[in-house]
Amino acid sequence: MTRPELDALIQGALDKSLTPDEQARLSRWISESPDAGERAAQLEQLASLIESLGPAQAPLGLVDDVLSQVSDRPHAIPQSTFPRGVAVNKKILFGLAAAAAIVLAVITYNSNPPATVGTEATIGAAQRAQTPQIAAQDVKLGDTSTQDVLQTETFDALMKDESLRDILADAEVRAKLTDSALKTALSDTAVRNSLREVSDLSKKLEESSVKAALASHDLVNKVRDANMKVLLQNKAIADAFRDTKMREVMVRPGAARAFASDAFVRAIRDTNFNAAMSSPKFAEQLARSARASATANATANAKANAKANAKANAKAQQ
Amino acid sequence: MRRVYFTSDSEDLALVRQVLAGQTEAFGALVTRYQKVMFTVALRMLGNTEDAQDATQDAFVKAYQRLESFDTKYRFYSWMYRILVNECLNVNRDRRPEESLGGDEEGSGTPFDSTLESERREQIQLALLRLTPEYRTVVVLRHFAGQSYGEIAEALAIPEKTVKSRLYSARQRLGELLLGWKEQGKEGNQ
Repeated sequence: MTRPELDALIQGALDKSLTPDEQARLSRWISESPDAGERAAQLEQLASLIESLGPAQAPLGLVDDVLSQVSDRPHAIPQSTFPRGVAVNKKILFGLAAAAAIVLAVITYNSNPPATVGTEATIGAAQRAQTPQIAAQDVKLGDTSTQDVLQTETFDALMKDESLRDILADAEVRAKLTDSALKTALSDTAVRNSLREVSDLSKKLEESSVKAALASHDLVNKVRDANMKVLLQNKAIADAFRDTKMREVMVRPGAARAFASDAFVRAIRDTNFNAAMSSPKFAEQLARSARASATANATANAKANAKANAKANAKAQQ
Repeated sequence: MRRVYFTSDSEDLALVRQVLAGQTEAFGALVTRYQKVMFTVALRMLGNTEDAQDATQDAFVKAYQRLESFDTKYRFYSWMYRILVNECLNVNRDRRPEESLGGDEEGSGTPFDSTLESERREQIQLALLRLTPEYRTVVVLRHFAGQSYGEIAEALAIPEKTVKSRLYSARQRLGELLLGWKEQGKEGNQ
């Protein structure tokens, strides 16, 4: 055997790519030739030397850094409103768009009163609802920095609760939750009990007696549901239901229970926590936790799908 | 060879489908799964933590951007390795000569003579950097990513035969640099 042939076999053994025949040939050669044995030992020594560098630890935050660069570019293309398989000529689409624009222009021109009348209040409300950007000087923390708050058990507990994470992800909601009357109301035992026990808040808020109570405090006693009655008797909570943003948040599934949770009440009672809620770091950490949770869910889903597929394939092969 | 990095292809494909369906967070699961081995490959290719981090991050972002072009008949990680290797080669090309970590200076003695662990590791890394990019790539994918000839061939889009011959030559060169083997063709075969 020539040296390159021997090296090729030794390399194959090192890379676990030899056939049983080749493996047997190599073993025979090594047992017959001390030189062959020495060469095999040299190549093994080299491989261990290279691999002694070992794997490196991935940099901290790499996943977040990648996701922050791609998160604004989701892959899914918005679904067409046309049924699947129906090819729509681009010319027809442009024609439809042009016709729609003309119709819109005619309606706008002819409407009496003009379409713009009455929208000022909406715009004004929207402008009022906009939370100004938080400047560094706006963040006044006590003895504890935002970083310290982010490392508390309370914050950890909030991050583990998906509903609370969603609620607090909204800067406008965080700003509203600094209102002292609302904080007092949400810390009240009776209110918390009712929030825990009330079911289908969204539906209950649509009941006529509840609507009437929201319009006039005097009508609260006419509300039949005991939990709703307790909630509406509290002025701050009733105000929250009247507030479009807070109402939208409170009727989300699991939100009422989340507001009544110990972790949430501990958080809103804590001065440092309240200050930290205005910090961009707080929002960043929230987003990071949400991404980590979504990643873990995606992994679990992928595993479950792969398992189900493997099972289905195995069944199909039987 | 330890195959510590092997993961299920079907799980990867499930995640790829989720990403393509608009679930960006599923890409986080893919990054989590491969970040360690990808960073290791980049570090051994480039010899510099900062460049390796940038190359790994850029490779993942490019993979995300091109995910629609990923052909599911291949393995996701082979495709990722190809993107990462190209990224590393670009970094190498962009480096000014004085930044090259490979250098031309001969090390004194072999890593086995070195008493300090850090010095020993440095000598091995420098030897890797002194290989041509083609040789270095196959060595890194084989020894640090645990890829088989077939997987390396798939990742680099070259025939398996070429992988074997490059590995052979690369190991010969590393033997000369690290263990004082005689150079082939100069002193004859050992």
